[in-house]
Amino acid sequence: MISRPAAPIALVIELYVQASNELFLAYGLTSGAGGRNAEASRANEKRYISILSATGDKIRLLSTLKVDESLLASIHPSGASELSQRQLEDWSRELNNQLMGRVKNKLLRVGCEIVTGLPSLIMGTDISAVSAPELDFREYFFASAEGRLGSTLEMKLAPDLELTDDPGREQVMHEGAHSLFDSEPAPPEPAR
Amino acid sequence: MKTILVVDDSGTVRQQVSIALKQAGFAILEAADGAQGLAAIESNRSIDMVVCDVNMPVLNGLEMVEQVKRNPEHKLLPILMLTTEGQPSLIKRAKAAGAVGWIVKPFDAKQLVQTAKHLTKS
Repeated sequence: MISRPAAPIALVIELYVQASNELFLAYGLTSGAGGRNAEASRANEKRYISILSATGDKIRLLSTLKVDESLLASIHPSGASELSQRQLEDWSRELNNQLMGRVKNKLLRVGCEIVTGLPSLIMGTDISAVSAPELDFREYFFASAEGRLGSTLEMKLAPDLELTDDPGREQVMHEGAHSLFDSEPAPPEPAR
Repeated sequence: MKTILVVDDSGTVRQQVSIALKQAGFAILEAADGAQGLAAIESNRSIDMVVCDVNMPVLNGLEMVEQVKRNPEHKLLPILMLTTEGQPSLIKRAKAAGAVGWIVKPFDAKQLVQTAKHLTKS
């Protein structure tokens, strides 16, 4: 059970950090300090910036992932040594989709429903995302020997947004959960 | 050889699922959205099971299931949802539409294979 900070914005940030850590640490990345990571991006390395918005009642979010191409390739689920441009583009979008999917489920558990849009993608060298000055934002960094990943959340929350635990609320399925609907028992989990 | 249709707008996810199921001996067909998935199911009677995302352009996964199941010929076709969504109302809608199960990404490849074998055994 997580603690409930006084302000909703603090909780939204907490949930985003949880989701980011769950997703990126599982790929073997290490998280950097709140500001610049010690390992700077390689000069002239192509970067992939995926942008994904989410909106709900009294809440708007924008998730931006900036990933060095070498790191992106190294964590591709296929494990392939060579990937096409299209595969990297798709993977960049899918990473942000998975991140915001986790955020979405976490917000559902505190009574906030959001709808995500379709991820956009920008690629290039020496590019960066610029946050709108009127929005609250937080930026986090993850890294491996292959490069760096920056994760930014921009937020606009209504002053009267309420986020609350409710034991009576229907349970949101967790990531990795696997359920068959019929009366037959699901196959047992394979021995690990 | 059993054939599984994988419906997801992410090429990465289609590849992940396909690799896991091919290694277990399944033949794989792919579709990039619900409309393509529906067309594949209607035109290919050899499909034994469907693994389907929810959030897709053109026709989403739940709409695809609802349209597929309107055809009595597909009453017994197992459709397993694979998605980032964990919302109870969506799961209920899928069940009501005739889907057989729900997996929240990321999926466990071995468990997916076990489930596919279970759902295609008859």
